[in-house]
Amino acid sequence: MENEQPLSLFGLSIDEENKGTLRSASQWGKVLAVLGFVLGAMVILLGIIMYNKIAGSYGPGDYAARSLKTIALRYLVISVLFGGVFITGAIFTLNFSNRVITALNTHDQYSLNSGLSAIKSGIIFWTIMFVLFILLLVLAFIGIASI
Amino acid sequence: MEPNQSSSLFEMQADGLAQSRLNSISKWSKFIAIVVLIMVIITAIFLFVAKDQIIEAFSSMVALDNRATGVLIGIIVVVMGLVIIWIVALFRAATFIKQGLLSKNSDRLAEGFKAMRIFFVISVVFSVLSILSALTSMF
Repeated sequence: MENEQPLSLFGLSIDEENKGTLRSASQWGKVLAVLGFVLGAMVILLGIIMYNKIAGSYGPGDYAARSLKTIALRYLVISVLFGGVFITGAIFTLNFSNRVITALNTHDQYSLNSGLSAIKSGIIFWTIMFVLFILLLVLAFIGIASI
Repeated sequence: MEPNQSSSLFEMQADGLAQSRLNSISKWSKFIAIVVLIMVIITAIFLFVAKDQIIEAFSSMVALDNRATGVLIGIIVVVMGLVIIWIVALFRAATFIKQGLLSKNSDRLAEGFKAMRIFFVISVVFSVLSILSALTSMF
């Protein structure tokens, strides 16, 4: 799938209009990355709060408490996984934004390539996540259809 | 219309490696756009098939009259519409970047970056809505 061969011997010019739109896209990317970090942290925090609420709602040794603790633990694991996904996605976006803005400010080719590489990795990461999510949706669909 | 842009000492160049990366971004973006479109279609089918169970589940949590059900359906339709605009922006970004690379046309490339910016803006809207939703769940 990976093709790192140069497409052409001659560079494609990134003119002022391109620079402006790329800079603007990078700035929005930075906002998105910050929100991604906040969202990821909140999802994990929500998981911890729910875990404490559910797990602490019954006394120790209670049969109901044990089964509720299992449910709460599952909830916590799912929250940490989802939070981790958001934070990982945000790291890729932040790397893209920072490196591209640096490249545009300093005319540094290495930063531009590195920034584009970061967004490429981010897109591949989100593709894998979406495919996994589709598989889960299909499983849920099959589960409901069989009821 | 001249496809090849003249370069100056003050202009940056997307070298072979940058073009190769942009080409990969274009391919993967197109792929993810198609994947998300499939996801939207599956979700729509899922909602249609399981609509009675979903309304029943909601009714057990909150009292749903005809108006509330209508509002719920309206929210789902608006969200799906936003998702479709989001996917189209990503698909347009992928297409324009590819066209810009193939024709060495900076204007096309700029169109691609503009569509990418729209994609990021809509992503920001979704993120803010998700944060608000998480906040309301928290308190």
